[in-house]
Amino acid sequence: MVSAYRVDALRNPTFALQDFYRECSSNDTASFPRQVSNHYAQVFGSPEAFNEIPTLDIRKPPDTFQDRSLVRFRAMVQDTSASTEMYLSKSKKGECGGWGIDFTEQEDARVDFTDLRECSVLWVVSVPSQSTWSARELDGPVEHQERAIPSGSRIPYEPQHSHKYPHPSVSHLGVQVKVYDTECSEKLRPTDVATFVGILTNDALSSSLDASVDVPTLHVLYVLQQHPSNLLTRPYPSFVATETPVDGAPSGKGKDRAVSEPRPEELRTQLIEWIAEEALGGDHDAAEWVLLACIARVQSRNPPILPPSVTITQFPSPPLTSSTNAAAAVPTPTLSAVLAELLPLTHTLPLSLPLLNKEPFAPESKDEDLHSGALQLPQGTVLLVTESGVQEGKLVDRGVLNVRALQEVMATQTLSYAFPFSAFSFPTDISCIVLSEGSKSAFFKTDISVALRGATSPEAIARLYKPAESIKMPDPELLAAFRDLVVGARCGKVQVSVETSEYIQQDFVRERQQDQSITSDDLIRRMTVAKLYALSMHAPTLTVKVWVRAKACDERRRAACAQTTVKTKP
Amino acid sequence: MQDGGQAPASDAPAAQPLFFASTPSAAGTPARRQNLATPGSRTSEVARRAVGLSTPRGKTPPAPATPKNRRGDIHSSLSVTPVTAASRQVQRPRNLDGDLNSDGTHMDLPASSAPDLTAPTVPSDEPDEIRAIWGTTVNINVTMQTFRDFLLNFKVKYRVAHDREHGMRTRVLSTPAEGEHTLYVTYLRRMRQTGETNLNLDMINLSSYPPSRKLFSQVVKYPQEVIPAMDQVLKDLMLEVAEEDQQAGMPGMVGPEGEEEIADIMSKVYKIRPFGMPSINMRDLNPTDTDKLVCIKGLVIRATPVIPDMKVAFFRCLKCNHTVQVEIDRGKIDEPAMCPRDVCASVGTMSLVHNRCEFADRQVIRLQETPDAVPDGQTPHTVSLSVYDELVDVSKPGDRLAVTGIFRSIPVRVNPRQRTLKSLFKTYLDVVHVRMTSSDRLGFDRSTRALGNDRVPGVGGIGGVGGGADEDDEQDLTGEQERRATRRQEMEAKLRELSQRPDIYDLLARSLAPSIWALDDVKKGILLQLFGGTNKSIARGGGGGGPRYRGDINVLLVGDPGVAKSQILQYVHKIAPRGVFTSGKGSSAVGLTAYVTRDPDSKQLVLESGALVLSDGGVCCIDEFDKMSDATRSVLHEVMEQQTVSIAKAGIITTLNARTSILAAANPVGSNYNRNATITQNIDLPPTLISRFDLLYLVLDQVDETLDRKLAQHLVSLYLEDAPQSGAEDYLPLEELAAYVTYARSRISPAITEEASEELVRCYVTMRKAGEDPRSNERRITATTRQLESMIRLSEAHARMRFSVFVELDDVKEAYRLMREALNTSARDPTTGEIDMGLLDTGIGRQQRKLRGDMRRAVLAMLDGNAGSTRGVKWTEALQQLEEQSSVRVSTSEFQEVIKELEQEGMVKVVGDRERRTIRRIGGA
Repeated sequence: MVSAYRVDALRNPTFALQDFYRECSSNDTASFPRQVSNHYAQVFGSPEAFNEIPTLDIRKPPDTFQDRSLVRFRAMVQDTSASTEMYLSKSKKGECGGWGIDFTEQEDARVDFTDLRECSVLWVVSVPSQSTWSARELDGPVEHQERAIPSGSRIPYEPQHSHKYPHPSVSHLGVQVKVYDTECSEKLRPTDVATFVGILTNDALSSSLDASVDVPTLHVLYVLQQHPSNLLTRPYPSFVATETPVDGAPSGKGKDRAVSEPRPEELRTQLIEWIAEEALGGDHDAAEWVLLACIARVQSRNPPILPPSVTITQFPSPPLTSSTNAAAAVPTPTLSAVLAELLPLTHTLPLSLPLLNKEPFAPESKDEDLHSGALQLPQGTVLLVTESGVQEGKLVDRGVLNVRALQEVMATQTLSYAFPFSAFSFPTDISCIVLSEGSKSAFFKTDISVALRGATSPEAIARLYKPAESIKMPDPELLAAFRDLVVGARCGKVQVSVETSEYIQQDFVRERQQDQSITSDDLIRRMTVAKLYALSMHAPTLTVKVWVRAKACDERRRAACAQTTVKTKP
Repeated sequence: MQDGGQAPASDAPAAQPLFFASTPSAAGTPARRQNLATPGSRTSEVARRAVGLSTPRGKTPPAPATPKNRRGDIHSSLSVTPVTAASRQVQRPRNLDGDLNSDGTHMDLPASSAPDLTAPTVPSDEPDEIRAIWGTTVNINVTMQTFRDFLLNFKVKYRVAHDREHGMRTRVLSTPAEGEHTLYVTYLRRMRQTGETNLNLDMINLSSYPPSRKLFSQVVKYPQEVIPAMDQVLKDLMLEVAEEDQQAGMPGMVGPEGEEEIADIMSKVYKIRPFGMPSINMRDLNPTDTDKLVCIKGLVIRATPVIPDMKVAFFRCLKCNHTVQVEIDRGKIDEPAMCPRDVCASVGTMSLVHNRCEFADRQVIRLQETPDAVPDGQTPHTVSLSVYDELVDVSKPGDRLAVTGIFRSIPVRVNPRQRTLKSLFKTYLDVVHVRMTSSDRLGFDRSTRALGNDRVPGVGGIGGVGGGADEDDEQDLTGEQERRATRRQEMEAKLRELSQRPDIYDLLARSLAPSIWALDDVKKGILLQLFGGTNKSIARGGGGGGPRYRGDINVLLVGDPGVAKSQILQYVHKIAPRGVFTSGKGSSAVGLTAYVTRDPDSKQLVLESGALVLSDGGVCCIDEFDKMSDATRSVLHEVMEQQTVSIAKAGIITTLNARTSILAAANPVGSNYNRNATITQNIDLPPTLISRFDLLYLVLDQVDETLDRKLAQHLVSLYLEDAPQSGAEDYLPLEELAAYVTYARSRISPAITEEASEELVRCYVTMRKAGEDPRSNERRITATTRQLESMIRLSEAHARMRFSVFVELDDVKEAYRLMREALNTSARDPTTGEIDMGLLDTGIGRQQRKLRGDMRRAVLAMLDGNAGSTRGVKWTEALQQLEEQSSVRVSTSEFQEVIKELEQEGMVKVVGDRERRTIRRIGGA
C-alpha cells in the first residue's frame, strides 16, 4: 500500500501533495509544512525508497526533467541571505497552496492575510569538491531511479548564476530552493550539505529586484541533512581491537571486517605505502603526514582544536612541458587524484598569480547577491594548495586579500564573507595541505611542514605529476578498505587515559628542563598530532605507545626540516 | 488624508450618494473656494457634478484651497469600505466649521475649546456602524475624538508617571508647572510658526495618557485607517489653534496676517508620523504583521534614486476630451476601460496625460540586518522600504536606521497582463517614520555627545525636523523602549544577577581566554580595559566642547614568543564590541587611519576609515607591535592621547574620532627577553609611545617545574579530553561575556566617591614617594600624572565591572594592585631592582643618569686638568683615560651621549671627524 502511494508520489508529486493536504485539512493548517516534512521523510525513509527518487545532478540537469517532477538534489547551501517569501497557504476554495501551486483567482478578491505563510528561499549548488566515488555511493544505483526516459539529443546544460558556485569554470548546477518548513530551514547554514527532496519547477528568482529571471526552483518536501563535516559515515573503530587486553576476547561484533581484512595497522602501512609510491615519490614520512592531514577536522572551536595545516616543502615544480601551450595547463600533482580516490570531499587549488588576482576566495555580496568564493567549501573538505604555478609578478589588492582569507582559514578555520558595510565570519572546516617548492611556503604559515625527500631526478619529478590514469590502483576491495580507514578515522573519537595524560605532562616538564626552547605550542602540536595518529590507527584510546610513536614521527619531521633548511641556506 | 484613495469611489457615479448626504462637494472645501476660486471654474464644477460627471480635481487653484491630503506611505484601503464616507463626514463639516469662523462672521465661537464636540456635533445620515473600520468594532469617530483629546490634553506628567511605573529612571521635574505643560499644543504652535507639516508622535506618549491608551493598539493594528484620521485631527487642531490665537490677538496672528496664516494652514497637508514602538527583528516579520505598523532596525545598503510615484492619473477621452482622474489604489491605477460620459461611452479612448498627473517622491531603500541581530552562522537578510515625500533622501547607504512603517504584502503576478496570481507575495515596508540610530550604538558613550540636550522624558517628536530624522536626543528614549522588550529585560536581569556574584571579577577574568592558562593579572588588566573608564569632559565645568579626557585604557603585552599573546588578542577581538584586529607588520599608516579614494560610482573623493577609526568606541588589537614601521607607529601618538585621527589628504582635511583602546603585543628586541637589560632596551619602541600605555605587562616564559606541570596539565585536559571542557571551573560563554561588557559599557558610568578619591591621592603619593631616596640628591620618578590618570581609569573600569555606579575603595585598591603588578615587572631597573618610571618616560633610568653625571664630571676634570687645554684631547684618548679611571666599563655610546650633552651646553667643542676627533674645553674656567 505504502509502495503504491510512493509510486504516486514519484509520478505525480503535486497531486500526491494535494491529496495529503485534503487528508490533513482537518488539522490546523499552521503545522502543515511540518507534517509534509515528516510524512515524506517517512515515505522515503528506507534506502530503497530513497534510491528510487531520481537525482538531479550535472549529468541529469533540470532541463531533462518534466515540469513538477519529484527529484532529489544533494547540494551545498550557498546563500541564505534571500528574504523569506510569503505565500498563500490555501485558495478561496480551500485548496493547498505553496510548493509552487498557482491559483487562478479574481483579482479584486481580498486576500485574507491570515492565510499567508512564510517560506525561506535559499540558493544551493551541487556539492563542490565532491569526489566521484562518494557521489556514486550516495546516489545509489541509477537503474533504481524512477525517471522518464530522457529525450535523445539535447544541448549541453548551461548553469545559470555560475558566480554563485565556488569554482565557476567547473560544471555544476545551481538551484533556487524554497523550504516551506521554516523550522527546518533555520538549521541550514551556508556551506551545509543536505539532500533536498522536492518538486522541480522553473520559477522567477526571488531575490532579483526588478526583471524576473527564471531559474530552476526546487519546492522542498523534506530535507535530509548530511553528516556534518563528512558526507559519508563509516564505523570507528572499524575492527575490534585485539591488542588491548580489556577488549581481548573478540565478541561477535566485529566479525565481518576483522576476520576478512588485514589489521588496521597493516592496512595503514599499505595505505601509506600506496600514497607514497603513487604520489610522493616513495617518501613514506610525507605520506604519513598527508594521511594525518586527511583525517583532521575541527574538533572544538572553543578552545580551538583545529585541523593542523601541513606544508610539504621541497616539492618540485612540474617538469617543463615542451608543448607550446605550456602556460595554459600547469599539470596538477598526482596527489590530487590520489586524495580524490580516498576522500569524499577534496579540492585542489592551483595557486597562480592570475588566479589569486582575479578569482575571489571569500564570498562577497554584490548588489544583494552573494557571490561565491573559491573557499566556500563544505565542511570536511581537504584542500590541496599547490604553489608551483606561481610565477614572478605583482599581487594586486584582491590577491593579498585572497592570501589573507586562505591564511585565516588555516589559522582559525573561519572565512569572512563581505557584505555591504559589514563582514560576517563563518566557520569552516577545511584541512589544508600546501605543496611548496621552497623550504617553506611562499604565502602561508602552516602548523606543520614536512620536507619531501627523494624527488630530485627528472624522472622522479615527472612521476609526481603523472596523469591520474597511470596511477596503479589497488584492488577494489583494498581500495574500499582504504576508504573505510580514512572516512572512519574522520568520524572517530579517541579517548585519553589518565596514565597517558599523566605521562604527557611528565614528558613535557622533563623536556622543558632540558631544552628551554620547547614551549606550550610544541606540546599543543604534539597532542594534536598524537590524537590524529591514534585516529589513523583506528585506536579507541590514545596510549603511551602511540604518543611515543607520534612524537618520534614529529621529531623526525622536525629534524628533516631543520636539515633541509640548513642545506638550502647558502 | 482621508481622501487618500477615495477617488475611484467618488468618481464613480455609484459612490456619489454617499457624499450628497451631507457634503455638497467631493473635492475641495467650498467655503474657502468661494473666497478665492474664480466663479467660472466653480460653476463649471457644479454643473458637471449636477450631471453626474466627475470633476477634475487637478485643476484646483494652488493657493488656499484645501489640497487632497495624500500620503504616499499610506495607501488607505478605505475607498472600498464605507469608512471613507464616515471619515469624510467628519472631515468636511469640521472644515466648514472652521471656515465659518474664519470667514469673518465670527458669530460662532470656535468649537475648539470643547474638544469632544468635533465628531458628535456633526450630524450624519449614515448609520453608526459604517464609521467603524472595516471588519472591526473600532469607531473612527471615537478614535478621532480620543486623539484630539490626547493632543490637547497630554501633559508631560503623564509620561513621567508612565516611565516611573515601568521602572525607568526619570528626570525630576524642576517645577510642578512643567509637568502640567500641554506638550502637543506647544508643538502645534511651533509647527505653525516654522511652517512644518509633520508631527512626530511618540507612541509611548499615547499609551501613557490614560484616555488614549487604546489608541496605541489601534494605530498598530489599523494604521491605514487610524493615521489618516489622526492627520485630519491634526489639521483641524492646527486651524483651531490658529483661530484661537488669532482671536487672542497673538503677535503675528492679527488681521490679514493671521488670515493669511490660516489660509496657509488650510492649504497644507499635515502628517502624523508615529514612532517609538519597540523594534522587532526583521526575521520576525510575519504574515500576520501585514498592514500593521511595525518598527525594525537595520543598515541601509542601497537606496534608489528618487522615483516619481504616480498618485493621481489624469485621463482624457480622445473623442470627447472628457477628463477623468484616477487615484492610486493599493499600488495600482485602474485605467478606465471606457469614457465614463454616458453620451460618449466610447471604449478604449481614455489616454493618460502625463503632465497632468500628480506624482509623489518615492525611493526604495534596502535595509539589511545589522551584524548584532543576525543569528550565529547565518547570512544577513534584507527588507525593502518605500519612503515617500519628506523622507526621501533622508538616509543614505551606510546609515543605521530605526524605521516605523506599515508592513505590506503584495501578490506577485505571473505576468502583468494575466490575471493569474501566483500564490506568492512580495513584502516591503511603507515607511512613516525614520530615525537614524547612532552607528556606534554598542559603545555609545554619552560623554562624547554635546551637553545641554537634556530633555524631559516623553517629549516626543518635535515638528518633524527633516521629516523626523536625525533626532539625536531621542536616542536615550529609544534606549528605554528597547529595554522594555522582554528579551532584553531577561538579559538585563541575568546580567545584573551575574554582577552580584562575589567572584564576578575572577569569573570574568577566567572566561576571557579560558584556553590560556594562568596570566591572571594580565587577563584582569585586559578585562578592565574592555570595560574602560568613563570619558570625562572638562565641559562639565561650563562651556561646551572642552577637551575630553580619555577613559580608554591601553595595554601593551611584551613577551617571549609562544606565550599566547596573540591568542589573548584574538579573544579580545571577539569580545570587544567593536574590535579590530590588525598585525603591525601588515598594516600601513594609511591602513590604520584612513585613506582617500575615489568612489567608483559617484566619482567623488571619499574617506575610507582604517582600523583605528573603525574601532572607535571599541578595542583595536595590534599584534606584532614592534614590527610596525615607525611611520605607522607615529600615528598612534595622536590616537592614544587625543583619541582622534587627523587627515589632510587630497583636499580632505578632517579629524576623525578614534576613541579606541589599544591592546598591543610585541616581542622583545632579541626575540627573547634579556633579563639584564631594561625594558626600553628590550623593546625597541619610543618611550613616548610606551608611556601612553596604562598597563605594560611583561609576559615571560620562565622554566619552572611546578608551573610547567600545571601548564601541561591544563593543556592536556583541554586538548585531549573528548568534550573539551575545562574542568570543574565554570566559564562564561563568549557571547555572554561580550553582552556583559557591552551592557556595562553602555549603561554604567561610575562616579568617584570621596573615600575612593582620598585613596587615589594616597596611592599616588605613595607611588611618587617610592622614588625618594635620602641617600641621593637625584630623585627617581616612580609615578607621573599619567599613572594617576591610569589609576583613575582602572578604578572606574573596576567599578563598572561590578555594575556599581560609584567607584569605591576596593576598586581603587585593585587598580593600585594591578598598576603595581604591571610596574613591578616593567619599570624595574635591572641594575638596582627598583621601580623607576623614568625608564618608561624617558628611556633613561636613574642608575644610568647617575653614571652619566659621573662621567661628565670626569670628562670635565680631565679636560681641565689636561695641560694642553687649548689643543684638546683626542677622542679615543679621552675614552681610554676614562676607562682606566673607572671601575665600571665605559660604553662608547654613553660617552658619546655625554659629550653631546656637554657640547650642547657649550662646555666643550668637538673638532675634526672620525678618528681625528678632538675634544676641546671652551668657555668658562
